[in-house]
Amino acid sequence: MAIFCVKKLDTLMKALLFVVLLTSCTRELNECNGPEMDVDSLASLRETIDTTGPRAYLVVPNPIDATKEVSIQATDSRLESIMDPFQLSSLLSPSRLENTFLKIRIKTIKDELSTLASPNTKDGGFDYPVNDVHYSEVMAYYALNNMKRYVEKLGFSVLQNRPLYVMVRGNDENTPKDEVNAYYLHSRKDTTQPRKMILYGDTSHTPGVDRDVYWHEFGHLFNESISGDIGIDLAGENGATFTEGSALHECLSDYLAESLSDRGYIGKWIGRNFSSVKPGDPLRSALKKEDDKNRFSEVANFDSSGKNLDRYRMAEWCSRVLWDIRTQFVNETSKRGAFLSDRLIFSAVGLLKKDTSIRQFKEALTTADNEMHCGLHSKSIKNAFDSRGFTEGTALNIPLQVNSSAVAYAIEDEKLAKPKILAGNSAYFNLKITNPNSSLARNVRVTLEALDENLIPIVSTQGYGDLPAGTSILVSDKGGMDPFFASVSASIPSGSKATRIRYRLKVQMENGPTATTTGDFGL
Amino acid sequence: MKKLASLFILIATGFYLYQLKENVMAFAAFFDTTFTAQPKESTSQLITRQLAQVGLNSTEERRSPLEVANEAIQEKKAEWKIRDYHEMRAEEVSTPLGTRVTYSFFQDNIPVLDQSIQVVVSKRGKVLSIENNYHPLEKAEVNPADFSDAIFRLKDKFMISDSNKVRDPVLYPISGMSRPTLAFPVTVRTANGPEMEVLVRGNDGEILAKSPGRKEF
Repeated sequence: MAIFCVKKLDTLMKALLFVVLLTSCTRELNECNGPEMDVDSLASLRETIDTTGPRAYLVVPNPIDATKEVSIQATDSRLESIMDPFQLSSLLSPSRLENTFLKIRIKTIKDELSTLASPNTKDGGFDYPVNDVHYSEVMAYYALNNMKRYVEKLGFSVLQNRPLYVMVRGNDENTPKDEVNAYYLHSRKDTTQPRKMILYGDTSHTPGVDRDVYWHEFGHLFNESISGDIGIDLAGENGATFTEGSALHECLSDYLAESLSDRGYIGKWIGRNFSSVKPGDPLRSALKKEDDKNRFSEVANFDSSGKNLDRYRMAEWCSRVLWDIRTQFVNETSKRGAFLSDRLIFSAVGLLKKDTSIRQFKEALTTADNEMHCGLHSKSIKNAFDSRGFTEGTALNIPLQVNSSAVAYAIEDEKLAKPKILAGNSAYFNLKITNPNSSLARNVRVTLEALDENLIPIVSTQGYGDLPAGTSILVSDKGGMDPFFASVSASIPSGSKATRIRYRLKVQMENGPTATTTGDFGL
Repeated sequence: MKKLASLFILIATGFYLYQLKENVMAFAAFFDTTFTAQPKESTSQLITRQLAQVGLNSTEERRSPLEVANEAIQEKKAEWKIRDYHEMRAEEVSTPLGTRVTYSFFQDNIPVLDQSIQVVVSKRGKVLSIENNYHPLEKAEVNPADFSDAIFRLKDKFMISDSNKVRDPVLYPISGMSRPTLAFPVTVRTANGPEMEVLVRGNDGEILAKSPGRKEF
């Protein structure tokens, strides 16, 4: 009897232990979901379903993705039959595409209102042919309003201390004929100016028609918003050709557009403007496998051709890392996973510092996951970076070796010329940076500093990526990379009376000590 | 007999689970200050201590993110050598993670560019990160400068947006220099290029910085 009781008691205790663990674990898992999320609202925003406002008829996201026809043009009459209705909410007036924050224009912020899109259907809707510039205005308002509402629903606030003007066809008499691009101007310093998005391209595949373009450009404003306007890429903003911060800015913008569209790539439409992009291929993809952007070393290691001084290469690599993380979230919970991923990734952006880096972003993701999800995804995050070859590098003891020479120049008849005086002219810097260590130098950057009032660094910082052991970066007007593309630069004040001007260069790497050198130059 | 033993075990189990429920609720109350369970008196002191350790207190109002951030940087002000002539102004941005408090710096009501301190405070009131981008710059000379004079030289090289609109000056620390200089931000355009921001020095119109926009490709 006693043995019987002991055996039963043992079973009972195990059962009770199981119940206690289950109860406490369940309680803990509930604590690890992060702030509550309105999944239904987020899902409807993804489907861009809105219930108020005039109707807009659009081919979403763009004619190629909507029809799966690579050769389709904006003038194709079939597009009219595949337009879907969307409702435009939050308009200040039902007859103008703007609200308190978002203002849609064609060429400039001063466009006459009478030249802009207005309702043209009986029920006050906007129904324009795809090749009409007014169609682009409608697409701009719909895309940006929808994206803003999505990120706000995720729990983020968008910087709205100045309005955002969107010029859907900024081409004018001063725009080069073949210019096709989209720009975001944050106007950090000139607070009299609004934030601006300007699209250029009067072509058969004009960017203004593509929802992805607006979503990507909004990503830049969003990145600045969440990071408290700290300047996660201040060096890039001030003219650096390459920095990890600039790559991250592009990566996050791409990811935002790719994730909300649930497609994993962008730019099949605008890619048709470039002969370097195969018709039907996207401009950038978080999914593509067969190319040279899958391993970090492929996009980060310094290459003497300058190939990797291209923020978009590292950005595309980075978007694949983020897509891997997103995939993990979606595998865990298909309904909410993508939203949880977006929320985590952009919460991490809120932890980034000035002139940030990929390493910092990885750490921020882990911190954000610890805080919101009890670190349940720390392994996934680590694996996503590791599996794509990201390494923080071995700690190095020896600073990089640097040789430099500065060359003063003037511009005469639009050509470089040797100046007769220093004052009022400029200087570029030849550089040779060598890694004497036996391991890779991570995230190499050069910063130019003035030592007195006779020098004004203009492009004060330049990034070079990772420098393998024993290799060198050569930037020189006598072989090597073009100093105007790949170096720091400065101007000399008109009032300078110096005959020799001094400067200091700091060469930094993420995994080792900083090297400092000084020099001077004259005529 | 077996049935009696089973019944006894069942009653004992029920009694134990009843006790366990109260303990689980008290356990959960450690981590959720909005939880409405009434913990047993013997555990209330423990809960108070636990809440205090994470910066929360069941008996006091939870501090605002700004208060937490202010406290976090207060003790560092001396270490960072924050100058008396630099005024700090805070702005807050909220994310699902918490609040990012950014302190910008001003001298004589003029913003000093590229100088800031940021504190990220979690929703639980924990400081997640502090970033100091402040340098103890010397006091700038703030002599009156005329905007139209300052941009005069720009007109040869650029088209200027809103050239008649007077900009507010800023103080800009040139890389390597310890004293910032008074400057005006202006949005300009070259003959065949897109818009960009430039900073021009107030007293002589020298260009101090150029910021082109971010392009998609």
